[in-house]
Amino acid sequence: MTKLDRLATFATLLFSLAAIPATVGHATASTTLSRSIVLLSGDGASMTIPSAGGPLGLTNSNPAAVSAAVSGTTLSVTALAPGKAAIVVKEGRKTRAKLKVTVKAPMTVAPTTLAVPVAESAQARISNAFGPVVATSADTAVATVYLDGESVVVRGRAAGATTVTVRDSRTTVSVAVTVSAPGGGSGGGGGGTVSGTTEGRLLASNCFQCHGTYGSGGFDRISGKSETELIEELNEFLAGGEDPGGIMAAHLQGYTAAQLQAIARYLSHP
Amino acid sequence: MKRRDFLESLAIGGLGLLVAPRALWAEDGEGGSALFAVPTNTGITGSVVVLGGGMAGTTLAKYLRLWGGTGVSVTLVEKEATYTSNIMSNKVLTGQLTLPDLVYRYDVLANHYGVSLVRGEVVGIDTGARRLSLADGSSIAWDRLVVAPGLEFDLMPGMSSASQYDTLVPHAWKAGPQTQLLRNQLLALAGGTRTGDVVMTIPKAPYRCPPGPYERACVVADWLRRNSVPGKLIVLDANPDIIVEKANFAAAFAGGSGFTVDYRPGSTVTRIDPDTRTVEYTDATGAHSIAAGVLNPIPPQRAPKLLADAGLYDPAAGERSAPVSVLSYESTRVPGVHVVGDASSTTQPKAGHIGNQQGKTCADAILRALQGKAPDPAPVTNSACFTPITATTATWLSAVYQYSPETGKMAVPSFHNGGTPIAATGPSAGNYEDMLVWFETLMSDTFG
Repeated sequence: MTKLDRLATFATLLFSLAAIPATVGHATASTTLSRSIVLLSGDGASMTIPSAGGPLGLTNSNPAAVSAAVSGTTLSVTALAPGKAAIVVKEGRKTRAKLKVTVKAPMTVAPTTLAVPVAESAQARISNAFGPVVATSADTAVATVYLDGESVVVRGRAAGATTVTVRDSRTTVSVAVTVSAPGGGSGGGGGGTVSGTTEGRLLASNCFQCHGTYGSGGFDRISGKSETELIEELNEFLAGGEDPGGIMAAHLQGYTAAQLQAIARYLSHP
Repeated sequence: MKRRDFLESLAIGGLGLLVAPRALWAEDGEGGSALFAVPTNTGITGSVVVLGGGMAGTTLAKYLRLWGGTGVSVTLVEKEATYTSNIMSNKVLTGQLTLPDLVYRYDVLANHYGVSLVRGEVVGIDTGARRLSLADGSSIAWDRLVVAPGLEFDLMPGMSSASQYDTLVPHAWKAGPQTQLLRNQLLALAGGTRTGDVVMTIPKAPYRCPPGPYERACVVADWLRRNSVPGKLIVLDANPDIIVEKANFAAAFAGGSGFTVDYRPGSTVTRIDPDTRTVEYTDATGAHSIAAGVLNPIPPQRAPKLLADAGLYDPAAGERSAPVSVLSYESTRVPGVHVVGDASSTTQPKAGHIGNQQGKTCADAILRALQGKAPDPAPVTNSACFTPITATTATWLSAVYQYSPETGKMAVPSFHNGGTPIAATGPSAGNYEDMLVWFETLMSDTFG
């Protein structure tokens, strides 16, 4: 049901430079060029070396990670395997360029299959993201998704199956999601159950817009707690001990103490 | 990266003109709600027809089944295949959302809650024969009818056809193609193919969503500023002052959030020319005229004519919406017909959050009536309204309404801030995050 989070979810992971292929820089002969780049395996990059016209030579600290060659005044590097390499280009004894290359592995997401009950969440871990990350659910009626730091969080909405796609600027990974009926049931209509008591129900339903139907979610799940615990929490808000000046404290002022008691009693056994 | 950090990075990075970042979804409160089974053992039987699948009508249909059980048959008649949320639709104007992001389907209502859906446009309510007539010639009989059709829009003075809203001067006060048109006109202003100021007009209260026009003024002015779009935002308000959350909106209009709004209260629009986007108005100082770059008139609103034709309200007596008992939302004119949401005339704001609660209150009253019982004698409703001010900040307004046996009306009680709503102390990024949880959960309690 949550259309916003289908498209409203991406986080940005910034790296120092991510140009592929890239012309990394120019400089005049009197300067030493110094650059750092980040590449994925297989990526190439090149840069023009400032020189006085003499022959250029290079040293490469990690040929297993990066291959490097200089032709004329152009330095070309190719990323081979994750690791770091320092490339130094010299003209005679003068250092003309220093290039630090970091080779990253492609983004991975683990696990790539998730099972989650309706109204519950499961996470997969994102590693080595490159550039902005976007996660989308193919069917937001079945599951919705958002990014939390380096985790992709999938929330079950209705029993069924869908695919969550996690994409960074270079790599796309699919996560197969299976949503089961609430409580791990085997489907067949599904749905949570309540006692069906009507005492206090209409009054307490004022809470559902922000705490979910029957108090099942939203800002906080509020059903199933004891009446005493709920009253203590409400009093905490009213006393300013919890989120002082917040909307909950404001809202609670509109109910009588007897109404709050009735709401707590209902929510303890909806 | 924590969500707060992300929001800050959005603020620092600025909003791209055409590729504005979308809001990040909530993580603290997860938002939304669970599905619950329709009970089979309530012993209640009956049948209810609901006209209109907006916030109030959809909530009502869901809760009739959720509380009434499988013995209560519910038919929802709706002319559109999907619902597009008005709430958050100002963010389509700024490119933070697109219209498809705001589309809600009736699948859960039909497939999980067992509500029968009829797609069709109702053209007549025959209260004598208790039948709805549909545009395709068919009809639907009812035992008990709930009318939740939303609002229709008056023509602004000088306009010749409602189609001018669709092509020239969108009101965009019902989310849909006009919202996209207004977005496109703002982009034209940014791209230089239009020049001039953005002029919004606000009708006299009551209208749908009291803070909505002020919210729109803020987020559009914020967008103009962030994208260095030439032209300012002028608001012509028919009301003598900001009617809700005055401190927050006045501070924002004056530059407290980085943008400014040229707010002109007490401005009565006397004529608009949709082709030239000229608006003429009078205020205490005399008559004025502005040729706007983008003209966004928010027209006066009324319950659909269909309801007047059925005797649910009387335009000849100056009524613009349907009087009801707020114990049951049953019409005071036509027994057995209830009116919920924006088309009903009450002391409560016309807005989705409270429409949801009206739907629950009406559902409860109908289920009691089906058992021969009187409605709850002391209903309570609440309005919680989060309002974006910029692309990254929001405020809120809270009000609880209690039934007054003395007046027969819903009123904010004296123990709630002396009988007035309570507003946030100012816009903040935290409120913005809460707004996203609120919206998701409200829509989930309604459509999920």
